[in-house]
Amino acid sequence: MAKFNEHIQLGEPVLPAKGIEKALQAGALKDQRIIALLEDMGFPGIDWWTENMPERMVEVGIAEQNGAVVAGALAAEGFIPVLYSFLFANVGRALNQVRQSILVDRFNVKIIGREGAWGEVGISHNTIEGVGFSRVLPNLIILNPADVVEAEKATEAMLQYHGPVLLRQESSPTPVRVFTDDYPFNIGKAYSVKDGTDATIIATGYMLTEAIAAAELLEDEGLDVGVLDMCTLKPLDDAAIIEAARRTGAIVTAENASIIGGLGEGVAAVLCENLPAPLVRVGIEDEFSQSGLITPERDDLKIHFGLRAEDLVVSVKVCIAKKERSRCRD
Amino acid sequence: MSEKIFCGKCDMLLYFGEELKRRLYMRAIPSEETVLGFYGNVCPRCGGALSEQTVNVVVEGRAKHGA
Repeated sequence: MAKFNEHIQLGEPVLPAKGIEKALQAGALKDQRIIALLEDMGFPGIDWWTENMPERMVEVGIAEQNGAVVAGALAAEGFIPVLYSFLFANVGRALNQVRQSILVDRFNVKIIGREGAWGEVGISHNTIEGVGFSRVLPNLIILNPADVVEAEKATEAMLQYHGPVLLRQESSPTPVRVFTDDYPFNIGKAYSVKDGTDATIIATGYMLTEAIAAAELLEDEGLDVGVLDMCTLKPLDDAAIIEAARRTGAIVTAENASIIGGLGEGVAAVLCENLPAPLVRVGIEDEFSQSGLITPERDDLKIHFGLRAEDLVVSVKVCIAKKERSRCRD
Repeated sequence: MSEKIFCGKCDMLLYFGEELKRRLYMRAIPSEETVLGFYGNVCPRCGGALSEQTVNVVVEGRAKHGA
């Protein structure tokens, strides 16, 4: 059994959306400036909002470009709009409006992007390229929580922070509960789930579940592999990445998103400029998502894209072999 | 160049974005003082007083000639 750090207590699968709902409701009760901005896609805990705060819900319909402009205008008047829809729509379709009406003036708008990875809605809505097209936007913080607890903490921190934030919501597959209730979440700070000496898996979002399982499988084979949770995809925690490379000398990144423009490329840039180390990027290659059967028991897309713990095990071994080869050359 | 402003007491990230003094065209956020004002000059996490003396400002980017 692998030894995990403080604040880790593995549990059953729970939808991260539950944590987002809880934090949004608590935030709305505390701060009257928070407005739910809907784009014909509901809202986390919509029944609670309809019953308790109907005057603080604005439905803009399937008009996401308009939604981004309305959000910017509400923020300019001192409100804190929470814009909720599919990531391909509320940022992807409205990219120009998000850029011009929210980010340029750094308005205090919160965006929750559903199906930032994939869900049952299929290829048209699964936005695996969403992290890539969002990371290039200045002034935007990007959060990608790994479980229900981190989703709640990240949503709470998002509402506390003054400025634009994108929160990528995992809809499926459902990650296991990883963190304890007193887990100290901090925007921009990675959290070491497990220390290791042979390699480090830097995981984000759902892939933390698979990274933990991979580290346990590797321990059975005598390899001591660390796991670093990188919830904040922008700005990345450069210091934690460099420290992981210094300590283990081999880095594997894990994301259920395109490897282009995502966590892997961000980590690669940090390593190349500071402490070059062997790296393997695990994610989705240069392709669009697919439609597939997704249930708690079976996730066709996770298998299709090679994102299971067993796949990560192979990548960690490849990375450790790269490290050994580079030592031989030295 | 990007800039980060952290609470000096609890390390909460208070600002992340373009380096404030390099914003030539957009003046919605003209200074660090304005950013701290968004929080009422009180850290929302730890309750510590926020002033230019109590926060840590980090500017990151490529070093340039004359910078």
